[in-house]
Amino acid sequence: MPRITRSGIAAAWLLTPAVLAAVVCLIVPLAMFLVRGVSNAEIVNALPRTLTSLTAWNGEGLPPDEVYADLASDLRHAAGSGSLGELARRMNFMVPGYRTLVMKTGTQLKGDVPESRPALISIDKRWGEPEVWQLLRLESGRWTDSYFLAALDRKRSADGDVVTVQPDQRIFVDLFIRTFVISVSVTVLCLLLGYPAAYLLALAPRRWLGVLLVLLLLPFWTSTLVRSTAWIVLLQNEGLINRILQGIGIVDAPLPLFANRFAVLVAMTHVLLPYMIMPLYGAMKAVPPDLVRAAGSLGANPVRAFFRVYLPQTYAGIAAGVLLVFILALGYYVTPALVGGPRDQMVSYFIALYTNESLNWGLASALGTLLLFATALFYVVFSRFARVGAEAR
Amino acid sequence: MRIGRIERRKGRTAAKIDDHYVSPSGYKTQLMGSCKVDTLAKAQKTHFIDVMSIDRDGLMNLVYKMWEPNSYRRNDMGAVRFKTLGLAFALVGAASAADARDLTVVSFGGALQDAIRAAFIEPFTASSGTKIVEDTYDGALSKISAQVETGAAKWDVVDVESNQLIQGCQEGVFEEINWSSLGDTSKFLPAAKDTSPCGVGFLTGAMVLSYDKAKLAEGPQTWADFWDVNKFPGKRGLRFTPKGTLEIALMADGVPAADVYKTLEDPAGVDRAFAKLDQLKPNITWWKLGAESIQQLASGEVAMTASFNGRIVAANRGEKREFDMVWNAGSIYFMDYFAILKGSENKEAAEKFIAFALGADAQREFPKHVGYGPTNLAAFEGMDAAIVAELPTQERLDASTFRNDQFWLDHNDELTQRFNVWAAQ
Repeated sequence: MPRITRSGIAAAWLLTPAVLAAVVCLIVPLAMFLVRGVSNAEIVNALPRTLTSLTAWNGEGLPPDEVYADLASDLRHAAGSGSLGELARRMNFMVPGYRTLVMKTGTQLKGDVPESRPALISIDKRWGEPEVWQLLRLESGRWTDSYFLAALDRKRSADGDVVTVQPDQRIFVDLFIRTFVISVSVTVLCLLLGYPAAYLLALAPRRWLGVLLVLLLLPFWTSTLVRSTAWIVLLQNEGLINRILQGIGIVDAPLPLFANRFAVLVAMTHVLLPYMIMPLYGAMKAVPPDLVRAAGSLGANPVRAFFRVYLPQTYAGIAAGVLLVFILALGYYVTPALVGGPRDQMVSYFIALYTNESLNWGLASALGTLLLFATALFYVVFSRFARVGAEAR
Repeated sequence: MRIGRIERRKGRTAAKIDDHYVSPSGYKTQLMGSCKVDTLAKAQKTHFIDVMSIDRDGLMNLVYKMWEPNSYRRNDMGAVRFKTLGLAFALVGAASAADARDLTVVSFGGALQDAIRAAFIEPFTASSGTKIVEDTYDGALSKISAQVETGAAKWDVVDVESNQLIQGCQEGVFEEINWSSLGDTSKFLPAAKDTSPCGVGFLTGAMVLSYDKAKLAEGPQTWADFWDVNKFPGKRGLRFTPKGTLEIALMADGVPAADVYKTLEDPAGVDRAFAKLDQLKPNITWWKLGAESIQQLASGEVAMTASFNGRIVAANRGEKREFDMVWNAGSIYFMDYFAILKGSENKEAAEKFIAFALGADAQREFPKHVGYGPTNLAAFEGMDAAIVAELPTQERLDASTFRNDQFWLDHNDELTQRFNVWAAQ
């Protein structure tokens, strides 16, 4: 434990900008992002009176007349204040068509409509059905778990039990598995290709090292988008590789190289490879070449010398590279979107879809949070595993 | 650090910081920080701040521009920089000297924005003397609502698609259109006026069946032909989204264009569309960006595709392609709309600009620059026949269906999810 000194405290002040930057740029946005995944603000803000009076209702049949009057009053107020649109969007996430129900009712209530049960039912007969009321009763709290349930293909039934959604809406569990499988595959491929490449770099004579490093770094400096697009040109049916293969008569019909898992693995491995090679190279430079020679002179054959002497000394580099590549791969978006097919889209694709297109930020946030926790979990488990590995050698 | 007054001199904005004038020449610095929305809204009016991104819950990142001092008297550069830096922390007390902003028109960039500039903006500026500033965005409603919510709008007229228009109008981010300011609207297509009280349609585009005549002499005539891989071998290009694709599947299954949405409103109709898509699934090559669909058609990757007519016309004009558009198969057409941001400080000029863009002359000029049609049918009078042949005319639209974005607002989430599940199987 280092002793806290006066100069130490003074030096710590120099960290203030970094700490502030972390709070403002990372911790605060992250917290707000997490909150959005459980916040029920749209409903609570728009329907304060309705939710209060709904608590007296036992959930059977239809709620009493006062609830209708409160709802009409809330909706009329929401239509005037502009919170109606948010409510409509929120309700539509739960049941398709509720957007129109809410908007229509709110807009008509702007006119001279009495705040009563018959008036609401005459605007839309869905107000006379129990479903919408049961839903409101379920979602009457300040916080909601519906986004996280949706992100795991679950929802709450009318009586509050968690049930699996119908098969044609089940997507996210598969999606997380798929994201994980792609990331693991890419990491393994990067390690298999990167290890020999880094070894070559570490052994290369000084005059070749510069050239090799440029060859490695040049693609690294090129935009991911450009590199991914280049693979389209190479891999598609009418692309370069298929043309050449057909031209020299190796295949008759074009090989399915594009818009599938193969293309995603190739392109992602290509994009992420430098992140594996760099830490490996760093680790290998630190390995004294004498040790392998010493192993040889003590009777180990080259294979044994490699696995018993050389490899364990690069564990730290492997751990860093694997961690880096795997975590980057988990969040990949552009490359699978460009070269992958419908079966190869990863979690980020859906986060973007829900953020930009349907504006379902709650669900996007829930998906992002689950991805974040998966990444954090992996980090903790893997770094422990790596430490144990490093100590064992 | 105190902020002085903001002044306008000779049409340029000059910020007076203490007693130093800074003018908008040369040197620019960007800083990032964060502050509350209402504070920023106030500060924005003084023209210093260019908001980069906003979080809806109140904290925001901001980038502001500041300017090199032209004639500083006492301080050296470093000192002035230091003073300007103080601005970031003095925003709370920002003065609110209103600074008139030029009329700002926003579209999606690319060929479309070039056409808007050539057919609407430049002639309008030439005839009215109103200076127009342009900006681009990606069509996301969040970019607009963020500006309106903070009361810090930088834009006046935006090009929006119909779902964003309907949604934005409901959520109160657009002004209602003053229809009497538009002059004669009798020749407007109904959908240009009916879609929403907040926007006027200014172009028609369509998702249309297309193939390469250079490769396929006897091309497909209907969507049923599109599904017939025995008669016309090869892959089919479709957009990777249920919107438009389900409609096409129903037309291929024999539903008349006019009845497509009536069928989709019924869950059995949605099942029917997915069942029809199942038949073609192994032969579909999905595209996500419009450019991809054209590239696939040009390279022969697909034998035929459903793509945007504007893209096809651009390929025919620019790259001398022979892509044919099969309008009679039935297309799904849509409009882009001009809408005015709520609380726009240039509302009157914005209305004049929209009225100009919807006039017969501007509408006749527009298709010369991009392959989208006019919404004011008066524009077809006296239009070059070669251009008319490329556009969705009245007869062609009669064989088509107008994309029902009210339906898609209600069902997009559910159907997109189902579509993704289906596609990944």
